[in-house]
Amino acid sequence: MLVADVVRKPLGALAVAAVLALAAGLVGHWGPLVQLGLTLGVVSYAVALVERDAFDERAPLVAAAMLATGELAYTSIEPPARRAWPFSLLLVVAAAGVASLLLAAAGIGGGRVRELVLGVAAAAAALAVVARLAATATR
Amino acid sequence: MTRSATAKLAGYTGIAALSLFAGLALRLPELVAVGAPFALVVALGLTVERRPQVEVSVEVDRPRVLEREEVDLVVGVQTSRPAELYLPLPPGLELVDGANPSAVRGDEVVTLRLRADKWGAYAPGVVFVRAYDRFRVLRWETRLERRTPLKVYPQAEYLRSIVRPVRTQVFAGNQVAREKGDGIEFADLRPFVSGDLVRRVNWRASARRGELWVNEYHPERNADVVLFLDAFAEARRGTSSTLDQAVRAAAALAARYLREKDRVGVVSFGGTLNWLLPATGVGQLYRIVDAVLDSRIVLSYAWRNLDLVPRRTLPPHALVLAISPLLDERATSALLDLRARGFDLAVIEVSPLEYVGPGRGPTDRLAHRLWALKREAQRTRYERAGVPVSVWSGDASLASALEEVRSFRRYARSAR
Repeated sequence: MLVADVVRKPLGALAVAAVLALAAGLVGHWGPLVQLGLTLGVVSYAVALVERDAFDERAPLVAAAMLATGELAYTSIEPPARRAWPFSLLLVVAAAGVASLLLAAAGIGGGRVRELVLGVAAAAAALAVVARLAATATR
Repeated sequence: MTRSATAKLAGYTGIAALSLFAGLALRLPELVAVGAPFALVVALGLTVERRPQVEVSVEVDRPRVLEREEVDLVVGVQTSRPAELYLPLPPGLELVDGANPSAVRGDEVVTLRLRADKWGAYAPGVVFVRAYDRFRVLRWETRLERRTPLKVYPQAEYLRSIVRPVRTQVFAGNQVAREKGDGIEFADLRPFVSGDLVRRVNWRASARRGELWVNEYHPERNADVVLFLDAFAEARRGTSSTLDQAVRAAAALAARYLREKDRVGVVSFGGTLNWLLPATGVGQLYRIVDAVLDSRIVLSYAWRNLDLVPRRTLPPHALVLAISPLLDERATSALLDLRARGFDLAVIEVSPLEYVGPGRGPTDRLAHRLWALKREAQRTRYERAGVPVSVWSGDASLASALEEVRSFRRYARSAR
């Protein structure tokens, strides 16, 4: 049996457990279950990385997706009185940028990561300008 | 303001720690990249934000309203950060318009339109404030006391006629006195004596008798009326109770007697003892209604008698109108004591039977019938002492209960 076959079954179970825990936490408005779901998500990604045994250029996107999930989940269980989506969106984009910068600074992944960093930085700057304009217009 | 951590702070800290340690242990820089943003959010949230400054003021547009009227509760807010406000409303005040809880930022005025469903003395203005930092990892909460008084007056029934007192006082009023003097109501004829006014001469009687006879009249005087509220016990079902009926009756009677220029006072006799000396005028009406608004049933086992009530509160020859469910022995004993002291007493019994159902089982129904019979016997005891007792149920008007009292007094005379 290949290593990938052995790992794939627990990976699938971890992913399903993460989704179920997150869903249960959102429905029940219970923070510990949301935290468990996110933690299981990180563990699933770690297991996937071990199984992959190669550098994952999509790590900044995974970071952004994890942070977006966390922001959405905690906003659902403790909703703000006013919408804060523009700020949360900026955080998500910034998460991708930070992750990319970290990996690029470590010289990991070669030129593809540097291109990704530039693209994420440009997108983040554009979104920041749009969000600032929108916030100014609504006041 | 009290600072506390949100669930997000603990969650993000855990994920950052797990990712960073796992990345170091497994030599996976991707995990470090995944955990870094979470760590950055936590670090920024803990270091950048400062305690928010919040000032709140609460006022009502009208401090006195009638039942079922609407009033605006105006909340002025000055805050250095976006915040959430919540004002818990006491039972009896319903939110008609406006958001509660509401979100505020900067300097804002939040207006809540309330409807006063029930009479009473309220003090809304407890405000719960909650603010977050921009990253929502820290929460600041505080409870502010900005109470403002709001008095909701009962919708009093207008009474066309009232119970006339047996004795009047010496000041001018609208009650026809038993004595004879200057007035409008004809009282009697008597022979002319020197000093009588010529216009008083009854020429018909004088012609019939061959000598001068003059008319005598009943003067118009005021009377002293004391409203005696029994606050020992009440029967309640849902949001209505015998005390609610009693307060409405007291407000209606006070308004009517004060309109007749009578002096009206109040004694709230119960677990706590409150009184208001008899006086006249519009100001006295507001004082009486304010006094009865504070009426509450306070549980007490202490025996109370009329010696605790100041003598000036119960002037001699005053008409005492007692509004009572006749549930507590102390109240019934005090009423009989009043009669024994010679007061002109009438009792409006606020019937508790409609608030207390007979129950389902045969034993419960038997107990209910026995209770009703016991109350009937108590009423007979009062009537033997010359005290009219009128049973007033919630669906009947107060005027019908007063008519019953008048009928009793029309056909019975107090032994003096």
